[in-house]
Amino acid sequence: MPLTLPTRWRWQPGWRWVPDIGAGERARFRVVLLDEFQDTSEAQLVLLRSLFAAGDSGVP
Amino acid sequence: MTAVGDPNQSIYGWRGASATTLTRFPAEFTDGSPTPVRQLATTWRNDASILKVANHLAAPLRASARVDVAPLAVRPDAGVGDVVVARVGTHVEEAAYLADWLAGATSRAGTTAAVLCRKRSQFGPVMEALDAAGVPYEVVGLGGLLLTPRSSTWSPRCARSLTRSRGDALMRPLTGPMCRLGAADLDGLHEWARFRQKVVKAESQGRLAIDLDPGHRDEDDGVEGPGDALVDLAPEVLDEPSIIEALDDLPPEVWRGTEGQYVGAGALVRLKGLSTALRRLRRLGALPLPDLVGEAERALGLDVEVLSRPGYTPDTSRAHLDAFADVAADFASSADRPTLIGFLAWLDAAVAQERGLERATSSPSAEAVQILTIHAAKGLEWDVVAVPGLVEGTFPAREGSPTPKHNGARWVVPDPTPGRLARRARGGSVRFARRPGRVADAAGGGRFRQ
Repeated sequence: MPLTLPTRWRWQPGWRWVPDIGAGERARFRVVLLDEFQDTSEAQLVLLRSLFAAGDSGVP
Repeated sequence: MTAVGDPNQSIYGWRGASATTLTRFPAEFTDGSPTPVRQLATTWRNDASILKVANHLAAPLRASARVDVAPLAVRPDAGVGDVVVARVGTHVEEAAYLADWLAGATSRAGTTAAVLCRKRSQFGPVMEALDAAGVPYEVVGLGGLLLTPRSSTWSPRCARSLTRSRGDALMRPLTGPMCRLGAADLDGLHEWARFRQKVVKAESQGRLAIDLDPGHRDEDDGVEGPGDALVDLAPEVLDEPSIIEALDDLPPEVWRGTEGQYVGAGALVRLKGLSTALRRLRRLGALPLPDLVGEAERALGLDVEVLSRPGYTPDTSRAHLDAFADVAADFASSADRPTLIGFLAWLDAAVAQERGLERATSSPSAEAVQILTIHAAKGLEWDVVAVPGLVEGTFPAREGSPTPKHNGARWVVPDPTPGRLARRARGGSVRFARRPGRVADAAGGGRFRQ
């Protein structure tokens, strides 16, 4: 499932941090390929980390 | 979890991409054991000699990279490739050389070719040279599109004809195939515009002026006093002679300027045609933009003009006009208020801020040589590529030439800034790694003599 991320991010009012989303996504996708990674912004890196690098428990 | 990237191709720093994300990936995504790093160092795009040039140009960048990147190696079945380097005196000679070379290189049907320029200002000479050599070409991207003679004509013509102040934009229609004015006729028309403006201004000072202080008017003495002085409230409106108004009110054939300038009889007939076309277009100002673009194209003879150029197929000849019509249609469907004035302001912005409105190429085409900026060429490939202006210190080394500064005692040429050096070289490696087949690198001097 290809996914394009916007480059600029701002935390919007009404957004809520849901810790379990990462676990859900990791269960859905066994393999993740990040292309053109040199063009990743800091915010995208944080997002990708929180989705696919499972905190202390290591990588999916 | 796999990340793929090339630190030498990081060109989006300007919009927030971080130069360190690739470096940090192994540490950020780890389960404790070392994250394996593999080099994808085989290029599937280039022949050997072209790759050699690319690696050479990218070498300083590799040396300073935070991530180790191996030099690229050719694919197993790669050909030798063909790199031609020419050293020429000026950018005009360089463009002529490129055009000749491209004419030969594209003579075999089905060959795709491109001219990649560092800056848009390099397009002009290249387009002229390709015209002269009879090689069909296409300018890619909106910003570049607006610089092509035939579409730059367009927006000024229709558009500026609505605003009296932009007579300069009429130069192209006046000297183009429709009016074909020579220098003497242009001079005559300009003199007529100035003459006309003086007459109109003199008239208006009587007619439009408003009495500022009627109370002090000495009505009965029959003698003009200071209270009778009339003032033109907006004299600046008439300060500039307007070619557009002169076009609406052409001189009689017998008119002569103070230094004998005149507009010839033949020129007058053609100017009348242009004047009629412009007046008709102004009345159509309420049409939807795309319709207006089509009307203008026909009224001003652009459709015939592009079709009559030798060497173009009906498809390629219309490439720029069609692209421009697409732009107008896009604008009409996406803008809040798709008015002509809004469209023009938007086009001006496109010229000024090329990057924001640059459109990606559809695909390399074998029908015409494509001219585009190196920046827009990312990810594309052609059989044959020419790069003008490879001048030491200009491209790909550093931005601009260092400006000599006087330090009180003597003139000093500053060292290039390392940051700029890296960024520019990064741009370079993207394209040099992209070309299959043959390449011409023409290093032009002229203003940028080595």
